[in-house]
Amino acid sequence: MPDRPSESRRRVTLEDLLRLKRAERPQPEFWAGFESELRQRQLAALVEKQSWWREALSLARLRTIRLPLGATAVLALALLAIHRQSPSPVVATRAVEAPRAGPAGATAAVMPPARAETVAMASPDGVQAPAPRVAEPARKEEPGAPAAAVATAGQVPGIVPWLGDIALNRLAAAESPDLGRPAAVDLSSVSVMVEPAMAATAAPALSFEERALPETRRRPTADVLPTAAAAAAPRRARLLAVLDSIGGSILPEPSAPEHVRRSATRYLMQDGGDRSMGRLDAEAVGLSLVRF
Amino acid sequence: MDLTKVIGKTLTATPERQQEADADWEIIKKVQAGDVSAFDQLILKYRERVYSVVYNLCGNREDGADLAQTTFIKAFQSINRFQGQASFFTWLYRIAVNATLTHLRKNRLRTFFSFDRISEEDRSSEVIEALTDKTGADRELFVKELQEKLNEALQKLSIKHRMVITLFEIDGLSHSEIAEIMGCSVGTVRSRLHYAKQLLQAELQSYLR
Repeated sequence: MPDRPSESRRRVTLEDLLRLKRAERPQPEFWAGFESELRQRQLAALVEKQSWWREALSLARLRTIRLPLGATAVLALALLAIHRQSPSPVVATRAVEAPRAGPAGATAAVMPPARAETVAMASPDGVQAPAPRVAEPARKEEPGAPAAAVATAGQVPGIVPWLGDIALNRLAAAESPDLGRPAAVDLSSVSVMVEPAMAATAAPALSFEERALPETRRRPTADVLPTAAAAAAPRRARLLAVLDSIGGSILPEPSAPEHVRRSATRYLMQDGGDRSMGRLDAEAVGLSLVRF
Repeated sequence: MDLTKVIGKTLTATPERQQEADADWEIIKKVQAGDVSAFDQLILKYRERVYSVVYNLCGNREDGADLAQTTFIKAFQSINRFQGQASFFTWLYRIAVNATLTHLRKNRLRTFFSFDRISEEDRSSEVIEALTDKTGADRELFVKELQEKLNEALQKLSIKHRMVITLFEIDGLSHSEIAEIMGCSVGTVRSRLHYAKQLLQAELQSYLR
């Protein structure tokens, strides 16, 4: 039988080899080592599991502080929105900067040199006025008042020459301590207006007063007294007419003593209630009464 | 849509497998309840099969042991996330396969088989003789050598083809189980299996004359 070895060789197939491979098994001692190593790694995994739980706990703690963080962020955004929508944001900025400026609180001293130059370049007449450094000591201010509030009227044309008469009038009124805050608002707002881009667009169209001040505050202080005097003239005439009509019934007889007549006249003048009546000539009133 | 992913457990639910899956699920519930020692039963039950898969995929005994341990550790760490939607056996195999793939990608240039290489021309005829001669004295030695040659041929396959051959021919899984483990269709498994066998035939042609 010469063909038998070759026939047996042909019987070896890939499936036979794979079957041999499938029957391959490790030795029993291999499993002993395998089990001990696996036990050690399992214990290590248990330890790592605890650290993982610690990490999870730390994440949970982070969650607890998320709420305050979120609230703080919302508050900050709200403050930022309010700050941006406020009509005169520079006032708050200046109020913060004021303590740094110290007691020498003139506006020109607070304003940086670069801004002073910008003011000079923004003047419509093209004349570059020098920005004077005010050397005189500032007056004593109220606590919390901005240091920039103090500037004399004579110094203003050098600082902001294009403000005109309106600003001069306001700064003249600012010589009184009570009007220091509005003056601070005006002068600090100037620093906003002198930003190059804004000054180029805003200066020709609207005046500083029209832009920076509300409608109710635009009327100059110097115009108030003539208006009040003009309104007082017809009122004075009206009061005199009333006195003429009723004076005979309430005043004593002409034969009354002199001190009685004087006290009656004084009473009528005080009863008028208007301070302008106090300025009337007492003799003219007395003559009118005597005439009746 | 991949039908094997939709049907999932139904395809693999032969009565034996279903009984096995139910027993595994009881053990898993104990482990999830805090009985860590119950996991040892699962290790004893599946350690040889897991080791066989990993060893035949990576072709190295030391790496195979290390990867099998890694597979059980990973399964132990994520046992609480196991919901019983697939069988534990399939889930464990998937962990083993993924761990092996990660290992092979990291050690792509690593040489396999720590023993000395044998010249094919000198010994191939003796190996075949020994395989066919069932009474030969050197049969054990030659069979071992033949296994080494088969390992070398397996390592020349791509990872996907090697995985299909290993799971089907050596571990005896069904096409649907392999498809579930590899995340592909049954047709893809069959195609890969056919192509892998052709490649092995070509590689071991000198032994299969």
